[in-house]
Amino acid sequence: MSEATAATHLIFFIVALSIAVGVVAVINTNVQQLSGATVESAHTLSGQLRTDVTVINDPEAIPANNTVYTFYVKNTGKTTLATDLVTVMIDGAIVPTGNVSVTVLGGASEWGPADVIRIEADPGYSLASGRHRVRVTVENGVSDTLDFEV
Amino acid sequence: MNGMGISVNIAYIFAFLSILILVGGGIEVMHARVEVQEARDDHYALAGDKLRTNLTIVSSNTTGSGPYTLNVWVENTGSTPLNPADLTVLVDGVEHDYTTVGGVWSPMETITITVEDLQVSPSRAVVAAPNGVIASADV
Repeated sequence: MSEATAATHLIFFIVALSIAVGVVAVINTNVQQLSGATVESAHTLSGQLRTDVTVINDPEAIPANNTVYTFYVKNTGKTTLATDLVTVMIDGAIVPTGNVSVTVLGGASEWGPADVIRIEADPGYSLASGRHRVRVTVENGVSDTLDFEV
Repeated sequence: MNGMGISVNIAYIFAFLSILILVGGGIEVMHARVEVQEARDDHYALAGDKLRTNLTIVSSNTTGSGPYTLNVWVENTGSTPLNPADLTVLVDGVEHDYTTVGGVWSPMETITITVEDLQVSPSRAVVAAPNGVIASADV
């Protein structure tokens, strides 16, 4: 084998090696991104499937104190939920977070399965007589709605 | 030929690495699918539990003349046993502590729920099971 042929082989070898390393690196990056995204998505979906909340108020007797309305929401799922990430909407309007007070009944520090929270929501105005709707949404978008009378 | 042999071996190594990466990714995705399937099973179990649960307030009475004591008789009209200690009781819309019997509350069994120290004569009661199934009635 002449020196020229050996040099050509060496160049081909280096080029082939570089391409192979590049291909494996690209495959690795893509597979990692795809599987990572799938795992994240599955984790989110699993959380949503295991989450359930129910507004258990008596629709005919919603406690009210001036413009503050009290709602009771039970964690009827299998996950512990964050009380500071609860969103309250009355008749489609979000009650500002600063106007919402959440307490776990029974003195528990966490809102675990079967625990009830008391939400005192102040929309800033008195609800007119008639039918209204409250929607309570938790951290992962799971929500429950109750139609009630004032 | 030696150079060719080394090239072929290196190609095998890279092909093997690629397959290893793909298999690793596939295993992660399979684990994710299993997690979702388990969560779906939990979801259906919760829904089934709700469908099998039903409560009915069959009777009530109020004693005293301020403070008042409310007795509510509630029948488990579902097909699943419940724990009477895990109920939530609202009187006139407000949550109250209550007393009742201990043990398991079997289907078709009626228990008495007592709420004491009510400052106003009660007119409505709600009893909620742990899974959110509700019975309400005028009392």
